[in-house]
Amino acid sequence: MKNKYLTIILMFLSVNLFAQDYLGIISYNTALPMGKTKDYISDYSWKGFSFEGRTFTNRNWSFGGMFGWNIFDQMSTDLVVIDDETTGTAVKGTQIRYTNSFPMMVNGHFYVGKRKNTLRPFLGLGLGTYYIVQRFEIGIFQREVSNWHFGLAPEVGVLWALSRSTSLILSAKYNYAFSSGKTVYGDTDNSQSYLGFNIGLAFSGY
Amino acid sequence: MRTDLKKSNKIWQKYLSILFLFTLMVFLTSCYTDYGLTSADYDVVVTKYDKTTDFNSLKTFSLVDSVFHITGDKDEPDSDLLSREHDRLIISTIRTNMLNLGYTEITNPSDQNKPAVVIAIQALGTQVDQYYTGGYYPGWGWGGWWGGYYPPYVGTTTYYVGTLYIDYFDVAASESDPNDNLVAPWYATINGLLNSGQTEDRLVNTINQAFDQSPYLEIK
Repeated sequence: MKNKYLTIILMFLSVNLFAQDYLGIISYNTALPMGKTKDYISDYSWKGFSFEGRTFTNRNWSFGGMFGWNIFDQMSTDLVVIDDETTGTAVKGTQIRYTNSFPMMVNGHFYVGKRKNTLRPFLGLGLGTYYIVQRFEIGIFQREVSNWHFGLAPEVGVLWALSRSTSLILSAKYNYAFSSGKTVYGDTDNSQSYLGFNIGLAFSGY
Repeated sequence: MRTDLKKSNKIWQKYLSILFLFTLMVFLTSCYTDYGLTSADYDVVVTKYDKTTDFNSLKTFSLVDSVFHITGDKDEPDSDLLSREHDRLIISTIRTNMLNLGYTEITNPSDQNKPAVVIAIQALGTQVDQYYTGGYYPGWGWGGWWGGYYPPYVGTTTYYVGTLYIDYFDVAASESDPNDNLVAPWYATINGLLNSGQTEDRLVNTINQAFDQSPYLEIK
């Protein structure tokens, strides 16, 4: 009998000791385009997801990595004007514009409060790359450019424990990709940015 | 308690699966939105102008009396892919736009009565053959999977594209050009699908658009 209680106590201790050693996260991502991203596509993006893994190094800190995909697309009939010093070009037609952004980052997060708290706010920062593909379709023509950008992504969010091993995760993440290559219009300032609003599920591993 | 926890975990595992499937579904169905484009949505109007030209000083124009078909054969004036039935409409629409911009037409140009601008119109028909293959055939099997297969060839689709070029030549600049080149400080290129309906409306709309998006041509 004594051994049985001891076993149960040890079992719970071990669970508590190693609970949330790892977090596996799958998120549905939406995004508000900003800056140059918004100049090209102003519509809100409802298409995106990400996978993420985090390892806790102690009670308040985790480090990990993520991969995501955000799709921005929009139909436009705006006049496209491309000017240089001596010539002016204007293009009119129904256009379909796409921006696909694939962030791949390592990240660190700081968590407020104790692990057993139902709500655990956190702050994070991601560093890494964005692979961004812009496509411009007009008439029967299309043009596509793709570039690797160095980028960073500060994040604020909260883990909301639904059960011992599962949490709802809500976060807002500012994504900034430093200028790289040229835009689909040939502009050399090709920085891209968007504010992501993410909802997902986080699973802790023991 | 342990059983409850396991049960609870299982429920959330199930929710994860649902969320994952939902996410996948959203992607599979809406990654590439179907915008329901019509043939008129494939019309494109491009204009380009030389910023160093003072368009306000070019007040008179003459218009060629026919549309030149680009055939690749100088002895063959008519393209197989283009009809002549819209030539008059094209010319009259351009004339109306030029007059509305304040230009004066010179109908019988001569050395003594030269226009400042000559408008030339060219048309090109192109046949585009597109070969496409079907999707991945996933294969089938009993007692093991036979593996997939990409059919090497499924079908072709052919469409016809028409391009209309409107060139605005500066007569004085062309005559004095040291290389004897014609100088076109403005041109418009209009591209669209041929034989896809509403041709007259689309021609008028796109020609008007070319002038509308070029406000610097106006004589003030």
